[in-house]
Amino acid sequence: MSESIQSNIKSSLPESHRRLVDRLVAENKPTQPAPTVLGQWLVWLVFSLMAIALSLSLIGPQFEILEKLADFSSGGFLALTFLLACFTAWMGIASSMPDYRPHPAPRIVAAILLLFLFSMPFLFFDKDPMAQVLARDMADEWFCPRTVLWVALPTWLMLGWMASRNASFHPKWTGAWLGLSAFLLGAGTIQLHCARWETCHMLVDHLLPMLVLIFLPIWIGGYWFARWRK
Amino acid sequence: MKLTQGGDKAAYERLLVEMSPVIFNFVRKRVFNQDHVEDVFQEVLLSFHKAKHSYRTDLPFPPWFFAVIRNAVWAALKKNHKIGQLEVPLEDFFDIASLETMEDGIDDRIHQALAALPEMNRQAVELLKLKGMSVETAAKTLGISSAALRVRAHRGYALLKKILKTQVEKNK
Repeated sequence: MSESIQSNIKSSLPESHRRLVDRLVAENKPTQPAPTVLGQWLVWLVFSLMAIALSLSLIGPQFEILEKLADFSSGGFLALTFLLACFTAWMGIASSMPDYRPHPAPRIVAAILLLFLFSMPFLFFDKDPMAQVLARDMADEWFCPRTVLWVALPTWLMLGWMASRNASFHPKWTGAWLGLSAFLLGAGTIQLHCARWETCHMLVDHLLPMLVLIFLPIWIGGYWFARWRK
Repeated sequence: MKLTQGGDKAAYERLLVEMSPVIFNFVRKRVFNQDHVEDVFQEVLLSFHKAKHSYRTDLPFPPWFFAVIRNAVWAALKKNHKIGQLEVPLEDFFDIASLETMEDGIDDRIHQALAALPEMNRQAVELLKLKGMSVETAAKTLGISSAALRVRAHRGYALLKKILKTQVEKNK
């Protein structure tokens, strides 16, 4: 477009628009283009694998881990947990991009898979009395839920830091996806360590922290990922 | 856009001048309340400015651009809706003041009520309503964005209304 047409367009803009354009032009600085969703997701994957490896080096995997991985129900539970963590991390990063178009399909898929994950302990594993679960939790000072949180927190912070550098127009959804991803990673990691494949224990100590605390990443995400627009 | 991301001001000005009418028309078609078109346009342009680092120059520009401004319009409308919910019409504000049956001491009561407001809301109300500043000037004076100033002022009006109402009820 020639300069004369340019200046014609500019002069035809209302005064307030011209002033805003001038202000934004004055503020323009060189920026580093944001990495792609795939690039950020791969960084998350490497970080998560390191977090899992570090956690397992500290708490140790269960003795029969290879048998459990080969078993249809326990292997399936672990695979679904980690695959869902990967999927929700991808969705969290994608939703933090400014050109993200929300679509109900990923939410429906995630909801169905989560529902199935929560129903797996009922369908495939031995029932244990709730009183016994609580008594053991008191004795070992809630080791499993604490480990879930200790794995979830750094991965959530890392994901959140990456997402906050993008420009999310859906900060609460971004918070929800990233929160789910972090809790699922925590639940999967503790399941690699904990040899108690029993319904109540898995639900209360491994999966319940996600249900109870998911409002936190949503609430924090509403502020954190919307800060770029302030 | 590549030049713009590199910090080229002339290229950025060209881009904004060319895009402004496009964005304005896009906003005008989607915002039914014509009073809000200007506000939403400015919000959208600001959002575009802050989100431009996320554009990848190896991809086509129009799909990214329209997706961003569509999201920005949606977000700005949501924000305006929230501010609208906080808003207390100026007429109501004066209705409350006129509820005072006693002629004398009205100014004092309003000043007392103003003094009872939190610092940031009081400053916003004073600059806008007592000193008669424009939103932009008042925002610059306080060193905050216009949108933040509006929110502070609207919260201030709501609190002021509440305080004056309580005073009136006590007097009854």
